Amino acid sequence: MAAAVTELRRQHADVEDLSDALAALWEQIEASDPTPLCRSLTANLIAVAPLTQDAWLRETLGRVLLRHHCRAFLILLDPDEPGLAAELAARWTSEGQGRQTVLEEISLRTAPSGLARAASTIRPLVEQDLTSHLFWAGPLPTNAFELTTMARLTDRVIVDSAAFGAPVSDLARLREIPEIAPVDLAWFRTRPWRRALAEAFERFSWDPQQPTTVRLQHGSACGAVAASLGLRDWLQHRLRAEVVLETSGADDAPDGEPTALELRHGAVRIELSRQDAPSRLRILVTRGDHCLLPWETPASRGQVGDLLAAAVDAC
Amino acid sequence: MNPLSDELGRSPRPCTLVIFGATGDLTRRKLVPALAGLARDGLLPAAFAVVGFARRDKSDEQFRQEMTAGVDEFGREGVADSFAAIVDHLYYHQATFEDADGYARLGARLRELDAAHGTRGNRIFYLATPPSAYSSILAQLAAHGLSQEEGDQFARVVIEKPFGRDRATAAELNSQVAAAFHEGQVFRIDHYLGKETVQNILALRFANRFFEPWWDERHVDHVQITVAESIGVGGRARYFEEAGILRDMIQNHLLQVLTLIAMEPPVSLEADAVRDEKVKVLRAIRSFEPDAVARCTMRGQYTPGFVGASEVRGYHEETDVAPGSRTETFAAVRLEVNNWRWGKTPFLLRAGKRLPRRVTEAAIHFRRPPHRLFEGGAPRQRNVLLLRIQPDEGISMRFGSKVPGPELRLRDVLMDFRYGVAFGGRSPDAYERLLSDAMLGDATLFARRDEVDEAWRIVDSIASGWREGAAPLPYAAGTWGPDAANELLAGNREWRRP
Repeated sequence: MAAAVTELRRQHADVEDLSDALAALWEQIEASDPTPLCRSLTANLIAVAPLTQDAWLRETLGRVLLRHHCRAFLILLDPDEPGLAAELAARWTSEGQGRQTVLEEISLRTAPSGLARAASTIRPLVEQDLTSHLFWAGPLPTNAFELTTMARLTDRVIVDSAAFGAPVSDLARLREIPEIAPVDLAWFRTRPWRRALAEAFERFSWDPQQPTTVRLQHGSACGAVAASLGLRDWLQHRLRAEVVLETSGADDAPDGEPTALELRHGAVRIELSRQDAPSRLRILVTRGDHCLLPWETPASRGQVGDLLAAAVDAC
Repeated sequence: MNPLSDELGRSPRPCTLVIFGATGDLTRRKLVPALAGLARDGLLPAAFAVVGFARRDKSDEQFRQEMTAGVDEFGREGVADSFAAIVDHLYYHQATFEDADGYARLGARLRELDAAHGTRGNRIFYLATPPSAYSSILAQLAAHGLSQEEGDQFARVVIEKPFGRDRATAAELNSQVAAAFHEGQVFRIDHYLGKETVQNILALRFANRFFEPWWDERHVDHVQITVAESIGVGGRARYFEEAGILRDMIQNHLLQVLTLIAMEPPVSLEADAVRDEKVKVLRAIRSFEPDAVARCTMRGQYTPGFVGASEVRGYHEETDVAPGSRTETFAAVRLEVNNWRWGKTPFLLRAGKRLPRRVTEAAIHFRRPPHRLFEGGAPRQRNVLLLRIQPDEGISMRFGSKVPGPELRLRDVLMDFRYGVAFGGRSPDAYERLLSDAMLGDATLFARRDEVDEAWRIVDSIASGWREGAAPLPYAAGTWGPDAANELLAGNREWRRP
């Protein structure tokens, strides 16, 4: 039987008094139903996004909750917000004879300039015994201080370079920010491509002395560019391959992946191409005059929430 | 060498899986849906093919359609697309298990598949057949060189339980296996070991500091292991008449759980390091003398009754049950692990059919505090650490706590950890884990020859005593077995009512 999920009504809270407001929220949840309630949180997740992405961020959080129950801090950036506005909410599941809290959500609305105050507000509310993750969901800020302020609250930083304005220069800028070694969701999107290549390499003997050349095609959207850059760097590092990036001109893959790859290594040729509906990768390996049967693997790991859950898992 | 192999994670090396008994229920309900789950999670080998071997005439396409229907019906949610991507890797091979020519053709076909799929001559033979077919299959595989490993190629055999019906037949089967495969190639499946919660017993004990210091006869009063089923024998009466619950459950599932609870810490998680410790536990359990069988074991047989709201037949009224059958449908056994750690702490094992609910659990009951500080308010029951294996997988701990108020009164409370809630998502099916491990060559979760032999030694000594003893005691379907089971407990103990 599927667990019933209940969400308590969102309520505004005084930012000066969030600890007490959380305690009151707990009492409300306990009083709302006579069945026993317990907590089963496994992580702190601090997510920062523009206010315009509020609904998307909550939907993403919903996907993460399928895997990780967490205390979540949603920091919504609103240039017009003069101070700091807070909201609290909680979700729990009813299963069997008990209830389990799966989410305690603290939302703060602030202007980007107010991030330092937001950070000091949530610092005492971060559950100390659980790993903390920062998910910077929007474009890379021009002021690195905004990112590092939030990063200092957490153990790990997760970004999505598909959301950056200019992946090439923004990724370079990100690398220069001290203290931060972020995990990039764009890298998780290349996982099916890396795995497909690894599968193809199981079918022949690689000779490290022989040169390897790769042509990698991608669309022009930020996600596809970011994923292709990551894949290029990986191929250069792992195979010492000469990699040529080509803009395909084709429609961008919907979830920010390259569109095709051709790798040559002596008489071996590996071709990867993206198929749509359903979204798959088709892999063809040719060894000299012998062609193995082509095969397919799922192309995408799903929505941003699924990738984020995988990134938290990888901790 | 594959310079990108780390991207494959736990993916095994390329191989072909040959399933003997491919038209049977096990293949359709468990094995192929498990392969679909592995495909979904990216845990199949990079180059992979499946050959279904069975007697009936069938085309590759028919086989693929039947297996697709099986995945739709029995596979976990969201695996259909992943299975569609590998369904063309399934092939059907028609032959009888005794037909030498069928194996010659199988060899040729496997070589063709190596060329087409890049499976590199690696084979896994899965015996999903009745045990009566094992002998022919093993002999034919050996005769046609299919069990041979050349260079870095591997050939493995996976054998389903039951491994014999007593110690002698198990030894005979093991000899037949050994004539075709060396022990490192053999994977004897007990699907209980594939369950996440069973594996978690190792994690609970050896990845945490605070359980192990209590884990001995000084602190543990007794251990209860229960495997209860609410169903009756259903369509398996012919098999069950031969086996009884002792051979069907206790010889394998319950003794395996017992070994994980009682074993010493292994020096590593290598297969043989773990299995060495498990075998030591079995060796520390003495065979039962006839008088001990009467004193430390009991058996029962269900009579008509109600399970939930449903009225159900008694065992004697089930189809294919012999008139006057003395086959036990319930068994309770009191075992002692005679080593330094466990001393006289009894392990109480109980399994039965037509019990009130389906549940598998192991309950560690701790001794009472040595001094009753809280006069009149001591915890009502012993502290219990409960390992729930199925359903509602998890761990809970029962301990006494002060009731709020001016008086110093205590009450038992539960601290509960639930797998499904804490980790989200659904645990993979046991067959997924075991198939994956067999392909990886990791035998940790498979029974070794000496484990099987020792388990049969213990079970044979009980069965031998029962042959001469009284008939099984009746119990009404829907109850927790005969009341006489309580006599095994002694010492102010009682069976749990899970």
